[in-house]
Amino acid sequence: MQNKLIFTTVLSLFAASGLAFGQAGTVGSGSMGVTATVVGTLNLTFITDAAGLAVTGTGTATASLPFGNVQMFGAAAVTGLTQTLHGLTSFTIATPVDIRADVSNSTSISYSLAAALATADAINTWTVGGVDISSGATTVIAGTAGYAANTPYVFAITIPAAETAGLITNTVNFTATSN
Amino acid sequence: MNIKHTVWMLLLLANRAAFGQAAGTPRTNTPVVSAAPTITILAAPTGAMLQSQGANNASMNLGPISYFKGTSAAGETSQKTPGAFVVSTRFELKVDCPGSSSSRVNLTASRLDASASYTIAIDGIALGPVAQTLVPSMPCGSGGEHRLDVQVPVSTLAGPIGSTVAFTATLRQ
Repeated sequence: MQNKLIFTTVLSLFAASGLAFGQAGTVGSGSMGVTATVVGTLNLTFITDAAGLAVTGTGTATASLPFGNVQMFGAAAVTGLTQTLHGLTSFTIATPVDIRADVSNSTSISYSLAAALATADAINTWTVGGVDISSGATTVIAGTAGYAANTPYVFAITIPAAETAGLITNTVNFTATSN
Repeated sequence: MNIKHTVWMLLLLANRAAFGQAAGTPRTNTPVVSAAPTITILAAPTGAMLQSQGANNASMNLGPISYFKGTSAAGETSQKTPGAFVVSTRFELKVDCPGSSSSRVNLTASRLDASASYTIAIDGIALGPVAQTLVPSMPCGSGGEHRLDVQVPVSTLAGPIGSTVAFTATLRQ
């Protein structure tokens, strides 16, 4: 046991002398500034409502809503589509669509939703959430809507009986503005 | 074996005369004087624009970045994660060691600011005030590409952000 201790001590001396040949590391330095501008954003998406017609492109900001073939009299019931007759003068087709807005990097807690029909329609009446947008003017649909919630809005078109049969198509542009 | 003999042999080996040097000649352990390594920060071919500000310093402006629109700047990518977004780009670090070109360095990085509203990572290593090793043994005169990630939570208020990343290259013996 004593011999082993002596031997260990000698080796340690070697180790210590070896350290003397090492040098402390020489250090160089550099720096890189990193900057960016965080921009607050709103994201608006259209989503198929559980009680409504299927939205093509659901979950995106660019979607379409095909009502399919509709007629004033003798229409078969379609799941998600509500059809209402107004005497003999017109009929309305309607379905709910969910609209959702999400916000990032902002203290805003609500937003205002406006809609505008891309091409004014003097024959048919277009409404979103009960608000007439047929004129093409930007119209507020909801002044204070909450974020991160799928809010249903009824999309409806009232079609006069006098209108010639054929395709009805238009685009509704929505704008969400943080309050 | 006689242990006393062994010890004496080892002590003789430790004596400088045993190495074949003249006994009276003092052994000169001439220190190698090495200049400090220099770090050059360069734009990567596929990375964001980088402005060099002289030796050892550079700056990188990632421009406007957002959760839903990401980034539109060349050389940057963005990715959404739950509750945050990450903007990534690449850059190069080159280390030269005047006077000791055959040596190697240990390369570390740290972040000089303490803003908790976003995080910065290089090669997946989140940076803080304590230096983290990026490359444990890098040959002097060589360079390498690195990935920079800036992660911004959606709760961070819009506005400018800025940090300084410090690099150190320590010459290894």
